[in-house]
Amino acid sequence: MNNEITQNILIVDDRPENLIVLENILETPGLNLIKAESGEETLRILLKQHDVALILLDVQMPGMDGFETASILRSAPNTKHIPIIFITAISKEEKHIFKGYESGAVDYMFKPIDPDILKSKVRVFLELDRRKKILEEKNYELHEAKKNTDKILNNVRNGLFLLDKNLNFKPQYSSVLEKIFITENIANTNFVEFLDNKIPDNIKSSCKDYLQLVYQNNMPESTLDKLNPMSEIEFRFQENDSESDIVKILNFSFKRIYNDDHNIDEIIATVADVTERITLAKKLQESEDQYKKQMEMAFNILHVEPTLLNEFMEGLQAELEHIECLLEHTKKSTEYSKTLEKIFRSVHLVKGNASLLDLKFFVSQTHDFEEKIIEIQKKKKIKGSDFLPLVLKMSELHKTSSEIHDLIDRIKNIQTHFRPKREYENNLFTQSLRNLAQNTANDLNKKVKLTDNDFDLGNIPYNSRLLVKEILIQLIRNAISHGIEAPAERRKNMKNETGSLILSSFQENSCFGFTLKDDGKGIQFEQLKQNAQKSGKFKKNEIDSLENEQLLNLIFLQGISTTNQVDQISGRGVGMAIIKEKIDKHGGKIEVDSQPNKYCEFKITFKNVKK
Amino acid sequence: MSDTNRVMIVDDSKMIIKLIQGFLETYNIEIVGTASDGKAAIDLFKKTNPDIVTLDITMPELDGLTVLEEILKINASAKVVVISALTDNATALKALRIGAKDFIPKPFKEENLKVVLDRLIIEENVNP
Repeated sequence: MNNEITQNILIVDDRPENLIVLENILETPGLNLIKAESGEETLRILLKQHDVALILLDVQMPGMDGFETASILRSAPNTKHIPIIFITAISKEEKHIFKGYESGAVDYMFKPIDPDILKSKVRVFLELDRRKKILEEKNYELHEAKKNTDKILNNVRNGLFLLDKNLNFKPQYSSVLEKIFITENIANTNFVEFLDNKIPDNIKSSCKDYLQLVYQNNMPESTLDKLNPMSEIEFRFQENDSESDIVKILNFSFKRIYNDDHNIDEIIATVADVTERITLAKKLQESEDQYKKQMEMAFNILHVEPTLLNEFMEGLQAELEHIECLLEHTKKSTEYSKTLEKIFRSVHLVKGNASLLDLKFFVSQTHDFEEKIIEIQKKKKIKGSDFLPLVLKMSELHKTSSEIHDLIDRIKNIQTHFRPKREYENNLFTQSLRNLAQNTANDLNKKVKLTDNDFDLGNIPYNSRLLVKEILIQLIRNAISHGIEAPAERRKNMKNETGSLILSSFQENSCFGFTLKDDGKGIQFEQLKQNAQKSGKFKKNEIDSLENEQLLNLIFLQGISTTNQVDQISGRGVGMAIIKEKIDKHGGKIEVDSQPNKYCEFKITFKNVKK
Repeated sequence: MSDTNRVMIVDDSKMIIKLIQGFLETYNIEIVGTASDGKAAIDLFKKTNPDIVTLDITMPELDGLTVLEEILKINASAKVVVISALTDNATALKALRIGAKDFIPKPFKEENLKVVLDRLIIEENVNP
């Protein structure tokens, strides 16, 4: 651990003996432990001391409990960013009651406390705090630099000049003006002509209007001040001997000068070069945005188990390479639409995995990517240049990916001794699926409970787990978005408000697999028929002649979705096609059974590979 | 305020018309009529010949600048105040160049209208 800075941790528990235990576990040089025995005391301490890297907060306390304390901390600007680890004896199932606290800076420890896990979590949060401080320092430096240039700017003489009625420069002007304008001998030349090619034409013509109004005696200056078109304008100066333009941001103000007869004699103008101020402000904004994004990402990936995260990153890498390969090898225009479809599948897959792990920034990035592809697909004729925005999206994904790699590397050595046990791994697998179900349901304002009592990860061979997970992601998302009805509708149909998803696994002599059953509206055969017809792949009489059982197979075809809405969850008619393709590739089989308004069940079977 | 001032309101937003109406009523200024598009505005102006016109610059069909030009053709000394979005200063400048007396930025605030009307009414009383 870095000893340069002292970091504060606040530990809160109503029992002094628990505080002593925590103290013993956490005691480390460079670490200052502050103790509190109640929620009220916590608030009192934080009133004086804001620089706290982390709070370990007992949930069950007399008086103000941990949640109440946390919600008060979250509402105050000085304390809302302090990460909290809740320590609770409440079962893991009730984790969702902590939701509603914005930001990801929340973690949980369940009693009895495992000292190793606690230590590892605390170290991660301390590392984050350190990174946060470094970034804050950088921002502070930029702020200071900005203040300094502001000061200097005020001391530097602004350019001054006078304009006559024809808007020509009068001979007397300040010498600094020639520097600002990078032009010599401007006396008696026309100001509006001087603006030619240096600023956009529309601003130039507004400027001309404005200056002529300034010469109009009956126009109140208070009105004109509001309309000055020449504040913070970007100027481009062409240099004779260099290829690139010099860009400056200039700020103008104009005032009337009256003669003895109360007529306007001339206009006095001041001009300031504010380039540095504006660029610094922009830089500062960028740095702040970057900082926010990094913190968000860091908190986000903290909640993902390292093994899953590594899997995700490997999968992402593979898909990115795949897409690059596609882009590189698509030469003929006849292949364009097929390539787009393939890229879409890859992106869709990454999105599915990201939403399983609740990596929000990836979900939104890949969603934008999908939207771009769909936009191109809608064009009547696809050109090679249409692919350019996709290359841009790719580089964004690469950037995020390398930022995450960087973050992982930094916290890796902290987490290495934290190896998941077998039972833990099983929990991890189903827990992440339960999270996915919960998040998907929340997004759609539905209620769902995923039951996995009959699912045993031991039934799934190790090297098939990633595959099984990918399939389950899609199936669960589909089930919630298409199958499970909204709570009101379920009540109307005499069903329990909370939809049920039952996941189970099996292992027989020569094969293994799993089933997922939902108690939603089942497959809507009429909708399916209509979509099949709309897709143009079938004629009406062909569809009408199909039995329900045969119709079910249609859901595995690309371009036929069972829904008529497109949302971020599903409904693009590719999800099921991807699953089918994956299962086929691995020699498996997928069966579907459904009864309208009662249930829909998928059963996926794979052959055991003999060693 | 002088009772010789008669005002006409042109705006495609009924809400803004109501706002201005309410304001003028508290100051006992006579409203000769309201119009919500350019053509109706020109007809109303011909019929009533008001002292002051408040004119929304962005309207469907016949736009504010054209209406302004037409009104000034009918009566060169008409006092027209244009109301325009702050983001569209270029149009406001054009309107002032054409001959509008002042402008009021949107989002619309009563105090801005008050300052402008006060000025125009004082001018009216100083040089009748």
